[in-house]
Amino acid sequence: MIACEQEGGGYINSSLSILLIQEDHIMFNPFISSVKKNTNKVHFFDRISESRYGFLITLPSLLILLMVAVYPVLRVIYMSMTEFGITMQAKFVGQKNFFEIFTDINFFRYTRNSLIYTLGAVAISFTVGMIIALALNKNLRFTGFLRTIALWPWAIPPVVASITWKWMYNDVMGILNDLLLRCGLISQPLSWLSNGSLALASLIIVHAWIDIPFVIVLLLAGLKSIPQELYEAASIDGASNWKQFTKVTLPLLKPTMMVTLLISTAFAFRTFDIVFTLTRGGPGDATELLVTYIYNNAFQFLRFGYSSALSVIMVIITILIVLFYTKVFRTNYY
Amino acid sequence: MFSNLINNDIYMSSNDLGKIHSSGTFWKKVKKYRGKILAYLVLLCYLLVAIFPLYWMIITGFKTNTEVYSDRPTYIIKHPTLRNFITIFKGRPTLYYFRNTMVVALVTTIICILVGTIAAFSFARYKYKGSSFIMFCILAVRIFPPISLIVPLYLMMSKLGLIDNLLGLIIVNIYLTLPFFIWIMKGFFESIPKELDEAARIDGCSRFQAFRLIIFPISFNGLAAASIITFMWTWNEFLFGQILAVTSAAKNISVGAVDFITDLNISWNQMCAYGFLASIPAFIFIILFQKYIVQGLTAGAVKG
Repeated sequence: MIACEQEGGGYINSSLSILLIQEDHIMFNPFISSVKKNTNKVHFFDRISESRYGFLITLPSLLILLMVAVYPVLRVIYMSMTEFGITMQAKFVGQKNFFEIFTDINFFRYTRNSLIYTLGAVAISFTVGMIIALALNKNLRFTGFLRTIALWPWAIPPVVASITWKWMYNDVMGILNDLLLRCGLISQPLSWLSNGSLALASLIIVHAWIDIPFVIVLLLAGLKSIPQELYEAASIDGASNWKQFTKVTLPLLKPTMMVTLLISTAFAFRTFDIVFTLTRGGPGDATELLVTYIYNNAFQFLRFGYSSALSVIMVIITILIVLFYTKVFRTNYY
Repeated sequence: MFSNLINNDIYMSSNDLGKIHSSGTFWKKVKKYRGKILAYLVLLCYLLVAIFPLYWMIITGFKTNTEVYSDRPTYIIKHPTLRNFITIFKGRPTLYYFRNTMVVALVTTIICILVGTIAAFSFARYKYKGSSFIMFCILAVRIFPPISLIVPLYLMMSKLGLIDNLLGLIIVNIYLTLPFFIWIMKGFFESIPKELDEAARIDGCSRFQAFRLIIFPISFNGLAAASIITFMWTWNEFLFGQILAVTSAAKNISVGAVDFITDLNISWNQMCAYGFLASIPAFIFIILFQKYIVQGLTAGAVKG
């Protein structure tokens, strides 16, 4: 029995309230000695209809997000069509920014870098994550402990992880060169972050290192939702391990794979911390990505309008990525 | 009577069908357990790759200058020292960075809990005209990459005078984390049976009291998952900390770390000591709250 205080004061017992309502005109009730007068007040939240109440309680979140998310989005779209420079005066110019983007060779080069970075990072993190998740699914002895430790690369601030890798990538004193030299795999120390073609690969490795635990967590949860009886039935029917993997595991894992790939790709496309900490654009502009181009245009060249137009292009590419994944991984949602 | 004449080795009974002879030569044993051996090897390799950078960062933080900049890197510290930790607190505003990050993360999480749980409850329970559209809009906020909103948010904060102010950082972090928070909580509320709040209403509670007194305490699991992830994301946030903070009055831990790099003399052991301190909360969270983190991450993903 849950007791709730009503607004008139005193506790309500439903039968008592009925008695009082009927006998309201009687000044003195001989049956009940001391009872407070029930004012019959209903709580404000009960007086309004259910849908109005539902809307009302979302209002604080809605207002916050309207101010901090919706208004900036509209502002970006507006500013992408203006010329907004150091003078802080917005001049509406229509599609001029977009024409400039499509004739800008740097835009295409940096977007190409972004796509290479995204594809490489997602490919590495997904394959490695899948292998590790399959291994962890076998319920070996230390899986709980391993799952805890394996989560560390993703949990620490990406900037801290990037600083650690920057130190490891150091030409002269870095541990990576030392290890490879000692193993005899290379004969001369590699310049991981100062070599134009190697720098992007180094960034991809760091991003994959940070992203793999996240992929493992999601894929492992998906793997655990596949009932064990299916594997037993398949092995009774004589399926080898590989056939079991392709015919039982992969199809049932499709929804989880789609979500994992989608989040991984979106994360790789928009990540800024790693690039900014490690190379800040790289030797020259070898590791300039679309995100750093937007940042530099906004806060280095102070071309807010152009930066906003680039942002709009980036959002369009993101939406294309989402559409791509939902179309390719079309599954029956049950 | 004649059992000693019967040769039992030749014939296989039906019991033997499908039985792997575990008593066999060494290579037969390897063949049986090959799946598990492979799995152990794979996990060992991954563990080395995942943990070695962290180990390297931690021991570099304890090394002296001579050892760090020597010709041959040492894998085990010869002369451990605590000098780096003292230096990063004396000569730099490291304490302010930690304070700022802690305040921003705490306040953001608290506001998300206050505002987000009730909104998620409304999306889970009450369907009115336009509720699914509003829910879609809130989720669509996550599709926009944060980098695309740096210009308007910077201009907005600058007009409000909130540059280099913790309040500005709090507001932006709420924008970054509230949609995901609402999404996770909505999933958890949908798993709480409707009969519970109906029972509370019958017993005389108003709608809001039913939520506050009954549903909210039950949803602790989901609440813990969502708020821990929110806290961690805000702690690790870098982009808007870099943009909106100018002095050490509002700078983040991550921004402070990047400041280290642009200093005149990069002192790697001090940077690694700083990095070690900055990742201690992550270590604590992983060890204590791993269950909640995994729950929160998979809540929206696997259910589909």
